[in-house]
Amino acid sequence: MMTGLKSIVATTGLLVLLLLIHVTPAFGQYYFGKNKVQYTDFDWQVMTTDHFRIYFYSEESDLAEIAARSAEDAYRILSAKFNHEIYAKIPLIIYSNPNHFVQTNVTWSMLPESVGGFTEFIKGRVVVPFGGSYYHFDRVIRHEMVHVFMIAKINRIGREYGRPSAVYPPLWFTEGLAEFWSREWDSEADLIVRDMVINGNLPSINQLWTVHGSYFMYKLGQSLCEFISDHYGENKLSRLFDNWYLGGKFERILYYTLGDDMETLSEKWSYFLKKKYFPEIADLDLPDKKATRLTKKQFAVRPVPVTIKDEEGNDQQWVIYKANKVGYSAIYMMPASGDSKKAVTLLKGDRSAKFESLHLLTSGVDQYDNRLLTFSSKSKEKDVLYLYDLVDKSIIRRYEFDQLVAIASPRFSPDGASVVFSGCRMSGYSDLYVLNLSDGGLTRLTDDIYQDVDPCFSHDGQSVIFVTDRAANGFDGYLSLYRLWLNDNSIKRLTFGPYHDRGPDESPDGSKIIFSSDRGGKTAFNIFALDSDGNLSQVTEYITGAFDPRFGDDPDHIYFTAWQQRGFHVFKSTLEETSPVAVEVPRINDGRWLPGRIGSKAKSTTMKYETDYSLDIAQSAVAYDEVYGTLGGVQVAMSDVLGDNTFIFLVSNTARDKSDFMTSFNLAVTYLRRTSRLNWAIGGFHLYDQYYNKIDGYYFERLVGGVVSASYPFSKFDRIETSVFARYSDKEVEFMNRSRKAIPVTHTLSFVTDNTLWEPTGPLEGRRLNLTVGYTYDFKSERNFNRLASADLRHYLRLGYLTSFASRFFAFTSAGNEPQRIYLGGSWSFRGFGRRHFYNRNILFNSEELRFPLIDDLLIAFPLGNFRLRGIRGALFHDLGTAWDDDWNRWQGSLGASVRIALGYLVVLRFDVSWRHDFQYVSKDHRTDFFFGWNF
Amino acid sequence: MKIRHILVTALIILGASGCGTSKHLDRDRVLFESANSPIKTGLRSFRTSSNTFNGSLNILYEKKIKGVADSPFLTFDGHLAFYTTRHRFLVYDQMSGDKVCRIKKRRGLVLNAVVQDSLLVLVKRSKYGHIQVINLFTGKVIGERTLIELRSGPIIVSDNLIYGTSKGLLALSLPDLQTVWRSDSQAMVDIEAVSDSDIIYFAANGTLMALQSTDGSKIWQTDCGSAVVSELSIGERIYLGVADGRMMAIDKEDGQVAWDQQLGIQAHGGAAESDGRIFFGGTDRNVYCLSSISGEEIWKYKTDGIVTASPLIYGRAVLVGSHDRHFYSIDKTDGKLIDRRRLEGPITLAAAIDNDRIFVTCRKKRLYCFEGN
Repeated sequence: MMTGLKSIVATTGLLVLLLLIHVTPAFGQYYFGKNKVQYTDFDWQVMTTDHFRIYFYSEESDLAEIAARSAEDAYRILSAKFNHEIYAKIPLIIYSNPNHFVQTNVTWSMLPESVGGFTEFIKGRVVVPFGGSYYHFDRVIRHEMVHVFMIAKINRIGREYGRPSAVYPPLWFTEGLAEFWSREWDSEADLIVRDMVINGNLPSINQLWTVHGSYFMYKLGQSLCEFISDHYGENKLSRLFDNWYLGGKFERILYYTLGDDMETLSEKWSYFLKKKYFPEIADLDLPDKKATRLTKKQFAVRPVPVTIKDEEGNDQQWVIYKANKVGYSAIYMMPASGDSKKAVTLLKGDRSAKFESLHLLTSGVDQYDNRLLTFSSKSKEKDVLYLYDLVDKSIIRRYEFDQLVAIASPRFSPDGASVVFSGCRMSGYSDLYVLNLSDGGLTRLTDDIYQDVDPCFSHDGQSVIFVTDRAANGFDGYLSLYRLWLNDNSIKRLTFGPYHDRGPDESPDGSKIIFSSDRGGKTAFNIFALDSDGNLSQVTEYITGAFDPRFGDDPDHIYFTAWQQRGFHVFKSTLEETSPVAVEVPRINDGRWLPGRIGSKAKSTTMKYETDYSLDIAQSAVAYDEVYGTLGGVQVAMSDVLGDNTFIFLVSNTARDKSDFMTSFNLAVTYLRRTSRLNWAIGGFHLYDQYYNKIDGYYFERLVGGVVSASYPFSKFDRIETSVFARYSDKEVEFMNRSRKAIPVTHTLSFVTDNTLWEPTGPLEGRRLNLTVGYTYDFKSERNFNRLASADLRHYLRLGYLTSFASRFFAFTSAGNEPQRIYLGGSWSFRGFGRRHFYNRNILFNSEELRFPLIDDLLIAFPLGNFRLRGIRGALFHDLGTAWDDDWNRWQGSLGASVRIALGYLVVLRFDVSWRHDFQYVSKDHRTDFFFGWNF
Repeated sequence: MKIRHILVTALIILGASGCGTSKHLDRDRVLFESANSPIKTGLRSFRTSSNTFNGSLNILYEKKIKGVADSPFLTFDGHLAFYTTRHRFLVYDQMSGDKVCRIKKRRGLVLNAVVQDSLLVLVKRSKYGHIQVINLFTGKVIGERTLIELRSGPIIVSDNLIYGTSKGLLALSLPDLQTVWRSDSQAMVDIEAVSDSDIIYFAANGTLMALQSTDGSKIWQTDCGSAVVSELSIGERIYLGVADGRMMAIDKEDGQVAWDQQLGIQAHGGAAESDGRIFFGGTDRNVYCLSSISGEEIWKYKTDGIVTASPLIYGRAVLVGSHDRHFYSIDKTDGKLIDRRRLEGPITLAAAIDNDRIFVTCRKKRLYCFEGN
């Protein structure tokens, strides 16, 4: 049994060993995990400007110059706001589209689709994808730069004043300020906050944890920062950072700067919003007061009406829509009557390589002849266009294009012979394309730098109506409707003014076009109708927002998405026109605009990227144990700017006295390379330490060797891994006073699949599988050292929003002269037994667990302060297992209950109470375990 | 022997050597010494220097100092005094650049310091604001008071100590720190007040007010239209910068707006006035020269970093530091660069002039002395 202190260093050594042996799991987040696949071979370049180093690939060189200009503009503005200059060049890495962005190695995390960019705190790298709109690109860059300046300023204050710089603002303020200082308050922000205020869901500042990390938090934070600026003074937000030297809690610094504490600020803000929004409800309505709400839970978007024959052959009106009900996206179909119990799942996303992402918020679906459905989905590297048979409920065709990375919002032509969609090339430019379904021929309709999205065919198929920012006010992000005639590619502008017009659909008779827009005067998005004479009228007058209108078979009915009670839902309504809306006078010279680019003077050099390493982390630990003496170690990790290449160094010493010192160094070096789809690693080590196991007792072992490993992901969910681990092993067993020298070479091969959906304490839905075989041959004795095989299957059946039934089946076997044995027992495996109760070479194990939410928010008031715990989960479990070496051992079981608490995203505390049983009696004695770790 | 005693002894010796037989700091001399640099003595004066300084920055010494200076220099009797970001109040010798003494922290971070006569007033921050009045020659703390709501200052006017609170101004008598009067402005006063004769001028968010220093009675108030973000500067008028990018000049007598220029930038430091012009730095990296009568731009000079330090007029030069780590000497007539020197770190505080020497510090714990004649 190792003492605590020694175990730190030994564990470190073991960690290195594990890292080397299982270094490929580092690619796949250790043993299981999804894969970040580098599908694309990027030809990276570097552009240096006054304050930035911009990393881009050669296909997006135009975009790089635009990004450089945005970055320098942002720098100029924010250095003034923060009263701070940054002298080191800031690394800015850009991707031309979100599908490339998710491949970035700057962060090890899997990036969800909703992430529009991020700032990595250790090296201050900013990573931003281009989404088609230059305006939003500029704003996202500025948003991330706020984070860069905030970190730099706080760190500088901390350095100069000797105050711990670890006191960072809460996330709502960090993101809220970034939003406030990067973009104006717009219709989308208004939609979020207005809905919360009207429906009585506005959280106080102390309750913002309930929306922590969500888009709501961003907008509420932005609203708060705007309120502080308007009511306390525009300079107060800057002054907050100047006062950071006061240290302590953020609340204290805020109070000192504003003169009001958090509670008072919250009350004033809430009151201000109520005064602002409550009067609006006199003139406007909530969507469900005027229209029929079809979906109830989570959020549902992009409805498309379809007529399906029922069992009697009668026509029934249904509606197809995209939704995320339980964490996965999917395409559903439900009766237009709103009977959600009859909803049918057509297609599930986020769980397989075919449908990695259904692009819920950025792409719609369409149907033709009540028989065919078309949609796009990310499938491995790119987006793919699918045709789906609504009768057979199966995919009938798949279209993938070499030149297109992303595809959005496909729409059928009236005759069903072609599909128009918005496509994005590797350069980042989005244009309109028409696909001929019969021969697969692709025709590009537009070819320019402007964002062209949301296309739809006209009723006669002669033209395409679409949304674009090509008008003069597109420079400020405004979107207008245009019509493109297919015979000559001529374009005519349909709507005017500084608004965001989106999601058009033309009526079957061609008499009107409906679309959503924020031109209604109250900044809410509503549905408008444009007739063939250019007259505009407002169809809906909702206080929140309505989007994506579609005509039903009956032209007097429309289906649309509306925002209500913190979610998108599908609605149905009749087409009631309200009073006409004034039409903006078309500008005579509605010229084009060009995005700003960095000037040649400001851009100093552009060159091919060469790997430049810098420190990621360096940490050391020194400990003293009266038995084992002084122990210490240093770990250093270095990687390049793009995160594609990583070095890990470990040095520690386990000497017990001076004579051992030189021979007791633990050294390990590992190099990981993730530039291409095949990720590989190579490492070398010298390890010497004392270990313990139940068979040998205490023993010393010296290991000198190396490891080569590789991981090849088939998709985001599946991969194959292999490693070769060769070492010289000199083992001295104390108790038996025997030694063993060997040169074992281990080869392992694993197949891993993981499509689980997680909540903070562990997986909630999906499945994970790890199959591993291994063989070790001893070159010294020239014999089989050991062989092993293991299978670990885990399945999670979703029963409710936070409730699931988890099952685990684990089998392990090893044989040979020195078979591998593993431990079983403890909170991470066989509960009811100690952490190392079983140590055998054959194991069969099963665990069944019912997981459920227990307490959402627990506040304990102590005399000197409060203590709060959130997101407490409970579980009931049953474990069943057996472990043996040569002779079969009987099955043993345990059952019990558990409480788990996630502390942030890093640690889960677990408390288990369990009772053993032998299938006849349950033991009266119970065992309690208090440990840490995610659920299996 | 305690540091206090050393300080007292040193100051006595230095005071004696500089001031003849007097053991106290000459009041007039203190004021005169401070007149050429914008230091916190309760009086800001922008008299044109008759010095024939030609603008060349010839460095006499560069010294490492014990901490990052967080206040403009106080100059007296051949010394430089300032407080740092690490709780220290330091006194340096002007000629050699060597540290003379250090006043130890008592409690908390030093937020501000004012010297007048023989009194050193330290504003500290522990949990709340805390003011100490220390006799520079005896080293004794002769007045002490805990203050809640302290936000800016203090300044000394008519033997009263006046500082900003979260609701207005508060005046305390010296040295016993008893409340003399309180003024309510309905908004936080987080920019240091300034005074001219017996009138105090201060900004509370977007309002500029003038009070009688004896009793705090209001003389006038003016709405600036936007939060005041710069230091207040007094010359022929009161000059200030506001958050929406304007620079304003307010008449001292009646609070009328003399002029109002939209520059599209913010000025965070103070302004210096000379020969009918005012000079200040902006967050757009420019040093500006405007007509003090009309506010029209005469020239601007572009640096490579934001300029938050107040400029100093000396001879024909405008002396100002920038966040680009350069100290500039700019011709005040035409805005042309005369000279500049690269320092170790960004310059955020105004320079000081004393004994024909120019003193500058930067955020990298350095003290620089340039020849001033």
